[in-house]
Amino acid sequence: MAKEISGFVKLQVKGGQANPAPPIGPALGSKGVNIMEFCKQFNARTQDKIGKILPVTLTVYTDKSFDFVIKTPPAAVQLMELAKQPHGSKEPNRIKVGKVTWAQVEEIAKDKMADLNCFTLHSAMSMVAGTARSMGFTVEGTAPWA
Amino acid sequence: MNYVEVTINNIDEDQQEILVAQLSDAGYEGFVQSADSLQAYIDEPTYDATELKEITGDSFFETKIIPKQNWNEVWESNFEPVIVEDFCTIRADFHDIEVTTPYEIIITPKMSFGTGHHATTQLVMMAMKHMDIAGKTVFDFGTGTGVLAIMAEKLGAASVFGIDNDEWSVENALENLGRNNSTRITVEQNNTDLLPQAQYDIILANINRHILLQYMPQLATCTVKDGIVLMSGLLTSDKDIITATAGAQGLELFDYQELNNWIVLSFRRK
Repeated sequence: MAKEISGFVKLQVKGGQANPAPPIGPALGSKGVNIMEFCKQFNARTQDKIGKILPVTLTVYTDKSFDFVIKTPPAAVQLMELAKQPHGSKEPNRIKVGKVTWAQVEEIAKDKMADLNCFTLHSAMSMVAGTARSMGFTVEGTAPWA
Repeated sequence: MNYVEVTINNIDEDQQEILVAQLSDAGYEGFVQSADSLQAYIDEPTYDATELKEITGDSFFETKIIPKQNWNEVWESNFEPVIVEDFCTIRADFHDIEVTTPYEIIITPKMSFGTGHHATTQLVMMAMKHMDIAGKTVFDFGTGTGVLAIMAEKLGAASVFGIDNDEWSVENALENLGRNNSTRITVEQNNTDLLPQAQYDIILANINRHILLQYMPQLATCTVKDGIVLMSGLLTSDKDIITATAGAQGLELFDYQELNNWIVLSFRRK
């Protein structure tokens, strides 16, 4: 019989560096989950992405056990890295602070495809390009489908 | 250490994603997401209100200080004792059970690694069971609760030296040494990149792949000729790279055990 779910927790934490401090401590401790067990598993599974922000969704069961799924780094984080720009623009509509190419947008879209609610690469690229513009980045060139 | 919790309300998932990218770049360590709000966490000394205002712009946010505390208290209050292969019982103070194993360790884990519940602790203990530790010097790299150091002492180690980079773990290990009447174990906090200059007969290193690879040359230097290094905190997929890197430093793999996709690797110094 499937275990009964008591709740979900959505976190974003750095790969290989999970520790019992906030947010992991309060978010999991209040649900009676063994925090150190989660940290050990998460850190071992993210040794290739040390220091990178990774979305992780935990399913916590009524017996205090848990499962979790780790996603790829958020598109916004990947865009900032590619644009070599530490911050987005304070006024993204007026002030452009960096540039990315459609090829880079495609690269991120492919990486995030499984996490985005998109059926086609085209729509995933549109979403990533939208995020880039919201951050004040110019997407250089013409969209491949234009 | 205290943390600052910043709650930003009324923002959708797309806005949350952009804020996560910008705040993580400003030193925020982690985030909790819900449908229309984002909570971001940063240690108090690093928190900069002006920078936060610049990043969040017009978004409304609230801040709260989160004092240092034992977040694992709920789990800790009712966890089950662990029996490692009819060899050692690991229990908390509050467990009133009949111990039938030759060894017993009492642990109050708080927020440190090493309660015996994890496969890697069990794997290292099972490897120790088959080793001759009596009269040997032992170095416990990343001691956590001190559970492996205490095991080594109970198996007759002449002396055990444990280090951890985490202040909380060192405090907790010292408490656990007291609970187990340990007299031949020393534990220190070590935040440097340097391991002790001494050499040991046995090294216990239950950490993770990244740290083991980083410290491999020093681990080899710290081991006497024919001394043994147990490495764990590793997944089966880590075996090849760890074995190759250890081999290049004169550490020869002589045993390998697996439990639930976790492994312990036993090396001998050539």
